[in-house]
Amino acid sequence: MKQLTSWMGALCLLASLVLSVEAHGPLHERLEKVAIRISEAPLDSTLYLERALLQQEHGDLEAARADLDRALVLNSTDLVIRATLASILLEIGEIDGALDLARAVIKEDPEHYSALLVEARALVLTGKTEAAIAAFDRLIANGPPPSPDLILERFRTVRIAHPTNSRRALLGLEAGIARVGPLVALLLPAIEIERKTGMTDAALRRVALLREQAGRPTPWIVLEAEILSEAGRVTEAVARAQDALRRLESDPRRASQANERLRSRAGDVKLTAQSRANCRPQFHATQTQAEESKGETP
Amino acid sequence: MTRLLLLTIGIVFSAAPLSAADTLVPFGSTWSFLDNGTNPGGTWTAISFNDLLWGSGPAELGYGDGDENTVVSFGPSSTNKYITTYFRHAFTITDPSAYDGLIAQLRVDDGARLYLNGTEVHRLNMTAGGIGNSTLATSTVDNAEETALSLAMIDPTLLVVGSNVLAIEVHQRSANSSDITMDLELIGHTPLDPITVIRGPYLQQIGQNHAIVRWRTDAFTAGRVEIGATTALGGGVFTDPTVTSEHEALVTGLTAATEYFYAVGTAAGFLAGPDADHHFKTSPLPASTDPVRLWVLGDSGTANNNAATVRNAYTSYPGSAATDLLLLLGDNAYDIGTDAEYQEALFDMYPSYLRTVSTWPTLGNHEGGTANVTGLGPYYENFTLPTAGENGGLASGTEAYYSFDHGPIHIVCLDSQWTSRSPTGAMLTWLENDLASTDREWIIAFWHHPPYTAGSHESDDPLDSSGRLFDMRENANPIIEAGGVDLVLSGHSHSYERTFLLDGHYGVSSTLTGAMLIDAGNGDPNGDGSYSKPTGGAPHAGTVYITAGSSGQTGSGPLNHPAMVTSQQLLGSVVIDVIPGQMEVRFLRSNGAVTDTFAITKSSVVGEQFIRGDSNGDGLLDISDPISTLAYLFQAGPADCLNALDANDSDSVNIADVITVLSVLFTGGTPLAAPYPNCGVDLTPGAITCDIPPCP
Repeated sequence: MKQLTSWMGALCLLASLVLSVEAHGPLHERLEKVAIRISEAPLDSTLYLERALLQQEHGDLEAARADLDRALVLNSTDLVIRATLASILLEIGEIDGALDLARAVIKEDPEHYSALLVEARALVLTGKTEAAIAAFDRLIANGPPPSPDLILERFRTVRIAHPTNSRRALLGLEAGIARVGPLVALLLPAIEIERKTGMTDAALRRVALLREQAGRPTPWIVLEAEILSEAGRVTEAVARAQDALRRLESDPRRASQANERLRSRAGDVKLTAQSRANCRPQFHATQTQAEESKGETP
Repeated sequence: MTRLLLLTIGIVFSAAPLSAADTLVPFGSTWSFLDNGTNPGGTWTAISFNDLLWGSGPAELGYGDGDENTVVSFGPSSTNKYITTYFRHAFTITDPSAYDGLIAQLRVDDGARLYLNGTEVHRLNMTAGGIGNSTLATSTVDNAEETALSLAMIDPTLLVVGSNVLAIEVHQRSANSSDITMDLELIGHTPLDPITVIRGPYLQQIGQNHAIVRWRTDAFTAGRVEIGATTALGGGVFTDPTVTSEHEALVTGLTAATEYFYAVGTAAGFLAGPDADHHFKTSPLPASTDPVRLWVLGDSGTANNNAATVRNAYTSYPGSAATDLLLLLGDNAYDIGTDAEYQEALFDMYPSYLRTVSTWPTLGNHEGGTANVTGLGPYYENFTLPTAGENGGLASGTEAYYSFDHGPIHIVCLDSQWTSRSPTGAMLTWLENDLASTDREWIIAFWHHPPYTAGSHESDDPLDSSGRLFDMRENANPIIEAGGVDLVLSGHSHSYERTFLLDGHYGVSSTLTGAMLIDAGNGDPNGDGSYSKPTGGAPHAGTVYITAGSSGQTGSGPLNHPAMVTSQQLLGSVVIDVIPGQMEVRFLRSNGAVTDTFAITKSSVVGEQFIRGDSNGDGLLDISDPISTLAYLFQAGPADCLNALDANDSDSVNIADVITVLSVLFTGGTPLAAPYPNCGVDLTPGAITCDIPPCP
């Protein structure tokens, strides 16, 4: 419990302060009330923290920072204040300051979620993408089940760091999918990489995962047809395109714009594939075998 | 769920203390304490820790209230008091196996962390994250709360033979807070003591062939659910073998659209049910024509008379007994969604619905105070939500946002609080593909922060709620409308505001144009007429947006957003009835009055709408209609819409139709089949048609 809950870090406290504020009247009224309390107890660091969070809600990051600086003078050891200041500094654009503060918090609480997140994002912004990837890895590996967004954030960092290394990006997505399941938000970028690198069967396996989840599989069947067509697997592509067209005919949404787009895509696949088949049948067979072989080798 | 993470569950307990089954540590016990502002070190909670140099005295311990038996120090400065004070108490147990539950009752001001033999077992008013010597409590305890008790269920297997130690650290809310309080009672529950259900049972994820039953007991036991077609049960037994106080049983092998009775308990017997109050109905099949009733509560978590009157109004409203789904639009438990607040605002407020209907919540900003994107906190502990498309829809991978199917309806829940609202983020990517992948006729979406409101929040203000309202309107709404969503429900503003049938309004209110109103009428079947959409989730065919955050309180605001048909600063809830071809939506005030009604109808070809029996197409059923039918039959009179003449829905027009209408008009005969008495489409299409539809 301790390990997992500590990943929540001070974020929950911050949230409770911010959010209990949010629905208790307009922000300016809340700011005025906190200002009165501060005048009554000018040495209470929590009041400056509370006002800083209100200022942050109001978009006044400099005012928030000023309040957090005061809070830190009054209570220099509080992790909540320091982690909050780190995130404000990151928002302001003082990346180095944010990084230093986040790391100081992490030194005292190695599992402090928000500080680890600030560290990872600050490293991305300073161009230290390899270190950022490592920081994301710590968040993903050691914390609670990661959000799909966190896995995507890491994936995008890998793409920045290694734009031509699709394999590494793909491995990161694979690891994420292994943790949280076959989610469309993770499968789609993986499919995109696999399409571009000729890993046809791998891409098709992922599309199949989505098709199986869908009550209405037509969009995924069209995507399968397109992938097969790109790979030169004409017969399969045409079969999938025809399947999609049949389904569209009986779809209650047959007159909709979305279905028109699907119909158009499926039709394009059919035409392209048939055109290839008619013009270069022997080449097609050779190419298909080659692509299939390529697809089996990640 | 993360139930396994739980060693305890905190519960509000403001009534009289529990009767002691076996009081292991009574109130007023003598405790050791460390009150010099230092941190005693990492082992201070262990049995073996030496606290001989600490102070000692009987509870109540603390300062500032004047009722303490032992006053502890707050340090040299009254404006900069020590944040944390530490307490320990040793007690002896000869036979740990004698207990199947431990209940701690705490009287603490302001926050606390409780340990038994070195294991953390409970937090009260403390962040879920790392806590240090200077970490502040998350809220203040004052006035009546100072005498209230909170309850913690503790795993009895933590007990050992011989000396055991309870340790508790009490945290101040701020350095100049006036007081702290600590007293505690520990009760041992034995197998001979009766076991009581102290939460629920309540239902989650009722699907076509499964349901999840949850309940909480005051002892640690294995759980058991039995179901059946009658209160005699006998339809199957499902066990939750985990020895816990927080029970969760997956009931499988059910039949769609079927009523089941159930009881929960232990191997020794039932604790709740079987009786007429414990039952549920499984989801219907996609093509079902059974009516579906949804009850929608927004910002209902006030746990006060307002919420009760809204609930009572619905209970008195026709059809409430046949409620199928309960949607919670966020801010379900004020102030920050603690477990205790959930107990009062949800479990104690709506028990009869929670035990018979599947509840589907979204995260509001208030429960966002104790639950965030990491998926931990009371909100996530209290609900078991789909992450892998268990009830239809694409897997989201998170309980923060999800979708599910219920008969002809696909329902999408988004998290507008903590999850990224970026168009390239995981949630909106999932949303777009989830909507494209559904085959259901109706689509409803809900989240907390409304895209359109001029109530206690302002959707024209880019800073309101840190831009969440803006983000949802600009980023989610285009996907919602392209995905064919019919209805969007939100809360946050404590009012009821309902739009026209909209499409493409993604800017501030001043950018609204007439072209964005797919239908500028009020949608009332008895007013300007229902909104009409093509069947099958057609994109950009119009969406109605409702802000309905007044189920627990009302708030101020100009209530003048131009996209609204109506804006009301009234307590109430939303009632949705879905029948084939039609969704009817009402705002039900807390006094039982309905102050807004609209409907959306769907037909495979827009325009083929008529009123059955209305032969002359004048919108009314009266004596002129059978005369008109007779003229058609025997004088070759005109008939633009034969479907309207087919009063008995026999797919032919003959004298029997005339008799049917006369029967309705003059002898109180059975009401005609749909569409009647309002415009609608033929739900049983056949050979005869409606060439010139009389309805708009």
